[in-house]
Amino acid sequence: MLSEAAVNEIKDIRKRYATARSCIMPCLYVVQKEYGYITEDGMREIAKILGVKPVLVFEVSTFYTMYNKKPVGRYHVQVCTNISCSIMDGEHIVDVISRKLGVKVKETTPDKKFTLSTVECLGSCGTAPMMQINDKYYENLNDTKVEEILNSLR
Amino acid sequence: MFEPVILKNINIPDSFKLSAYINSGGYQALKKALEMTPDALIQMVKDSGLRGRGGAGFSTGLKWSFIPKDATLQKYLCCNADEGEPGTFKDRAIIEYDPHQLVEGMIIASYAIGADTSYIYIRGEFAFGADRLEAAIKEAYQKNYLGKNILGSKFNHDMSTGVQGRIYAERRPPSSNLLKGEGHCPVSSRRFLPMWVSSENLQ
Repeated sequence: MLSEAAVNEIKDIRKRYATARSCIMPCLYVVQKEYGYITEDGMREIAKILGVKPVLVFEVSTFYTMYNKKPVGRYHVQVCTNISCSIMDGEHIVDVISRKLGVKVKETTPDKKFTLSTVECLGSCGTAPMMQINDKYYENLNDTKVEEILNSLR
Repeated sequence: MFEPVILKNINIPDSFKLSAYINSGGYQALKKALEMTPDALIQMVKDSGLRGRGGAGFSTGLKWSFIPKDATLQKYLCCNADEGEPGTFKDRAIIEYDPHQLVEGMIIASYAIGADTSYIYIRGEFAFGADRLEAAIKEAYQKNYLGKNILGSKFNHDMSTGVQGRIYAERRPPSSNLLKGEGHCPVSSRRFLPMWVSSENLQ
């Protein structure tokens, strides 16, 4: 069950939008914040509060990559492997992190602290290679920097 | 070397705050614009040679002039902050470090075309930028750069953000979503878009 605060947040969001369908995306963020990822129950709760069919919530959540459909670690490490970052050896950054954390892409460390993902362009091409950990950007990466960043989060 | 124009203030301390923006001459253009008629404003922007930054370099004043003058029509301004084409990173710096420049520009454009509501369509990955924009909009409301009777004029305007996500192969995605009254665009619900989206009826 969503907390009362989360339910109220969804109701508040609803007031800002003309139609119930329009506000599904921000509501999904509320559920993600609450559970750490998008649960089926959470989506059903959104549908119930908004008075829409659950399928409308499901279709939105599965379309977008920023909604985690599976649990992720406390730190979600997303490394850009799109063109600019690849030219600057973003794939190598993925390898460095993978080795350091002992997980492959899309995997989570056993202590549930880190999940490693690759992402498409995050609009940080001038400072490639880059990664995003939770909401924060880390730019102009190299082996030493990655090492330091991950150590600081341990 | 080139001289920065749009990004000239992004290295000022607290550049994203209203106080810093005001100190560098912010919102003076809005004051000036509100003293002009929308037509005169559009003509001035046309004459200035200001062009869009989307790649085509289309004349901004000309684009504004395409909006029907009929005051009984409901008009919206939509800002595409869904930057994410690989190799494109010209907007994030403005959003994060000079958000008031975007807000002021949108209010001026809205006054010119007679829009009483505007939306900034920002991608879901730009959480930091979205926070900055929302804070800037809040500050602008507090100082009556947004809201009712802006700076003592008869112009009312509301602005909000919608944090969205990437959309594949959609022509003019933000407006297509607004056209449907939705904040998203699953593949199954695409619609055919008109050639000139500037005057498409949203109803």
